[in-house]
Amino acid sequence: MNQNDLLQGTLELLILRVLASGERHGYGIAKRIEQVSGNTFLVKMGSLYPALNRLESKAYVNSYWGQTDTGRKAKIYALTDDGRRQIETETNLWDGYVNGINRILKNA
Amino acid sequence: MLWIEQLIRKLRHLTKEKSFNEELDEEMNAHLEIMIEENMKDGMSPEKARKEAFKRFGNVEALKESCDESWGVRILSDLNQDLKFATRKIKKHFLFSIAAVLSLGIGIGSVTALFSIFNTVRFQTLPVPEAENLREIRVINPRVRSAATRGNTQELPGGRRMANVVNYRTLLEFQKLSPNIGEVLGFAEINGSGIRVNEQSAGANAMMVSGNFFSGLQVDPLFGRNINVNDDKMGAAQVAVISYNYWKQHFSDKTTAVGSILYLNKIAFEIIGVLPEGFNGPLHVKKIGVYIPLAMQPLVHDLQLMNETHFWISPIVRLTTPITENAAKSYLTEALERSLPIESLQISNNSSGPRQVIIESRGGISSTENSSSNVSSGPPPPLFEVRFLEGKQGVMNQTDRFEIYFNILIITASLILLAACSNLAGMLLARGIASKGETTTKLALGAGKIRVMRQSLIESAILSISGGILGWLILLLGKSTILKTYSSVYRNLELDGPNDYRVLLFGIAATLLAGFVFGITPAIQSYRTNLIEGMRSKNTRIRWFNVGPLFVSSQIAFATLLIICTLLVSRSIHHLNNIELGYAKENVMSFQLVIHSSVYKPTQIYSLMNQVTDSLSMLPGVSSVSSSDVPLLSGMRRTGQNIVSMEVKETEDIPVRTLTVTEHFLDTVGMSLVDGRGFLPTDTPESEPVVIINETFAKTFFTTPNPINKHFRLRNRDYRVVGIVKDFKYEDLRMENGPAILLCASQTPPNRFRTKRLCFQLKTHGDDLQMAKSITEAIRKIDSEVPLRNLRTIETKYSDSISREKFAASLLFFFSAIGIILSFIGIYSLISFTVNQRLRDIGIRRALGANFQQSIAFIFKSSMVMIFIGLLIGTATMAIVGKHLTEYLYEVEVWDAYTLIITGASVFTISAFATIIPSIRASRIHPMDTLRYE
Repeated sequence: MNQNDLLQGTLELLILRVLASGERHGYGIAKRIEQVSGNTFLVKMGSLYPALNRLESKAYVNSYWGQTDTGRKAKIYALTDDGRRQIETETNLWDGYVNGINRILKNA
Repeated sequence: MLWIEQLIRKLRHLTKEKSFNEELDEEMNAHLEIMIEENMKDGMSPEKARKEAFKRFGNVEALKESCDESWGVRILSDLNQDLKFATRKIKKHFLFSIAAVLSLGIGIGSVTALFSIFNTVRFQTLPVPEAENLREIRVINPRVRSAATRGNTQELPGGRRMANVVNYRTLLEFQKLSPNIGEVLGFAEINGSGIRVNEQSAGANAMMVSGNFFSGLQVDPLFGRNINVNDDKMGAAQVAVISYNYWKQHFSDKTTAVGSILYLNKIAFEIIGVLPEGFNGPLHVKKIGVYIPLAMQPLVHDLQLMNETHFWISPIVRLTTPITENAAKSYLTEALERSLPIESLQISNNSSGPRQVIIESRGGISSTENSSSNVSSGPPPPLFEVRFLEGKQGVMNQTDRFEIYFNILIITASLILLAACSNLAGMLLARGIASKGETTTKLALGAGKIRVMRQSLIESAILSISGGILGWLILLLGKSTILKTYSSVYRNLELDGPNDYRVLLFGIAATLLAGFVFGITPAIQSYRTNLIEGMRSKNTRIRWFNVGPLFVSSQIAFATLLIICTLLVSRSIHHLNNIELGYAKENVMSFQLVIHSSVYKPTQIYSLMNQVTDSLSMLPGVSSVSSSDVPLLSGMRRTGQNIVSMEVKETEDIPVRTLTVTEHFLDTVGMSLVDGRGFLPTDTPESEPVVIINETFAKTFFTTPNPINKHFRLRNRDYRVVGIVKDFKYEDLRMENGPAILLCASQTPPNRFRTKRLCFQLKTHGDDLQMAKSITEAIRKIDSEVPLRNLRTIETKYSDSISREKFAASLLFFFSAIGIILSFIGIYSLISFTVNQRLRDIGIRRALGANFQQSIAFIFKSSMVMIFIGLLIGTATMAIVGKHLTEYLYEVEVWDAYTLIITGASVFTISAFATIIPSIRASRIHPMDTLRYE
């Protein structure tokens, strides 16, 4: 598998998961991922926004113009029902993937 | 239904593209602001915070593009842009585009219309199973020559004659062969039949068929039953079968059709069945509505069924048993010989010497060429022979001539399509090359090569498809017009068939291909060339333009050819319009009553004639009525031969046209006497037979200056000349004036008058339509069923008989107009291209002191060469086309000096004009500009 594809798909899953805990704007999503991962992942803007647009085109997220905590106008992203289901599917896929790799790493 | 939602989202994205970009901008800005804010919170200076934020963000433009791409509809939005771009370009070159679309549309439309009709004529097969096994039987036998035939006969070398008809006995003999070769079916058309259904006249083509006809063709009735072998017997019940179309036209539903009575020539037939939709009889492109058994012949026609001298049945065979065609032919030949009595051999021996054929054009069509000169060496050909013709399309009668004409049309239309394609190609190329700088700039700015090609492709696709749509419209309108005009020229032909959309698609595909190939070529060329070089210089030549002049020359040739043909045909129409008929065109109506000997005995014909004449004379608006045995200007004529008399000059055996007329004929049609008198009531059967001759007759047969009261003998009867009329046109406008005589009907015994048509002429004043109505009413009062034909004014007959030429002229005019426009566009675009190419040369020349004329003289020279070559080729092609054209020419030679000069002058002027316009445009440019331009 192409590394880009892997990361791309993974980033989408991460975004969805982050949004599951509440609506956020683009910067908020990036920051949240960085925080939770303990700064393991640095999200590039060049990946974040295309990924968000992709998710929106697939109807996994919706967007609207809202306000940030500081009262600034920003585009807020929210998870849809389809998106919620998608988290489940993709988490399962990811688990299977990780298990597979782990098994190889331990037993081969 | 997630995917629907996704699709809707994508489409919404596509439609709000502009605001999407704005929104994205806004979002990015917001993001940056937040980042800067956060950075400042972390203690960075505002400037550093800003720098840091931008650094993390990366290339905003690329980000925006990839966001757009994420929607997966980027191609569509690009396409949208390209379409807009193409539309702009088309608007910019509006005239060019209009010309391209028009010529493509006309090309595609006319080719499709003509091919559709052609397909119907050429490839439509009879809708019966295994139609490919059908063969039309043609027979050669010595008896055909002497017998009265109802079909078509054809003279063969060696004095033999081939017919498409046999007598009843031969048919029966053929049918006995069914175990050996397959079923032989017979049919005979009933000419001029009056049909009545439910007390109303319901005309249609009618036909007699053998009992095995429908079973042999494997046509099952839609309902009811078909004519079978038991119906085809003398004394059987009188039954008829009707076609689907006839049923639809004259009956409301099946319950009223089957079992009802149909009157054919006043004889009742019970309708027993209706045929399936689509089956219209065994004839090619002619629809038959009513079928009755062959055995009914004595009822509807004059001759006995078994009359051996009567050849009237067209035989076809369905080859079913696995034998070779030759074996089948030899079986049939034996049967043919068996069926004809031995005496026929002797007749043929007597008649084997040189002889001329007396033409009495009645009923059937006979092509008579004098065959006596054909003396072949080697063994004489067999007296009896059977030949086969393909029968799967039905029996052909009248399509041969039609096809030659049609082929010319189709070739012309195809050439127009070709010329339109090549023009489109040339124009696109010229434009592509002209905008080469633009293209290379685009490429240098980073536009994808595919994108650049796609732009030019889309433009040519729009042109081609618009051309296709226009072509479709022209097809819908044009086809019915062509058919209408055709049906007035070739009566009785059913040419309307389905439109052949494959041809339409082919036309569009061809133009698309031409557009693609030539639209894309400059783009490819630009891509290949060095970009910097491409932007810097405009002098890169493309090889195609070396053949450009060839294209233009051939277009000029094409236009030249068409103009010559148009002029020739127009000139001959002018001649045709001014032919001296020898009688009046205006205010003379004529019509015919078709007389069936089963209805009217010869002795009754005169009483019918008098009855009709009397009642027509009573009509208001009719000043005089007369009658004759043959109608004028109808293609029919009667001739007599062997004029003998002491007073007649020594002459060859010249055939003389004869017309038997009643007393008021001369007044009615307006023939003028040169000398003597017309027929009088005193010319009775008891008095001396008198005759009126025309001037040519007088000159041919008499030495004396005044032949009045001289005598001659014709068909064993002596006639005294009482009057001389001016020469007049008998059967056709185009005929040479030959000797002709008028005989007096009241002196002609019924057995000599014998005719199948009674023709009437009326001198009228007032509205023709109203007149026609009252004439029909008057006839119907006398006999409600006698078929009334060709009720028209002489004027209509006249213009009808030149309608073929008029039709050809209008089509040719149309095509040559297109041809001229196309070659104009061709020259124009080529010259403008050349001028653009040479702008630098022109600039330098002018800078060095050359005046305008000198500087563009070389362009002119090359253009003149092209035009001249085109003219030459076009004129030379006339040598081939001329052969086909002579048929449409009247008193005009193919190589007509006047026409050639006019054509040359007009083609030259138009071409020169197309050359001058771009040249003048070039001259307006200041020499410095052209140099700076580089």
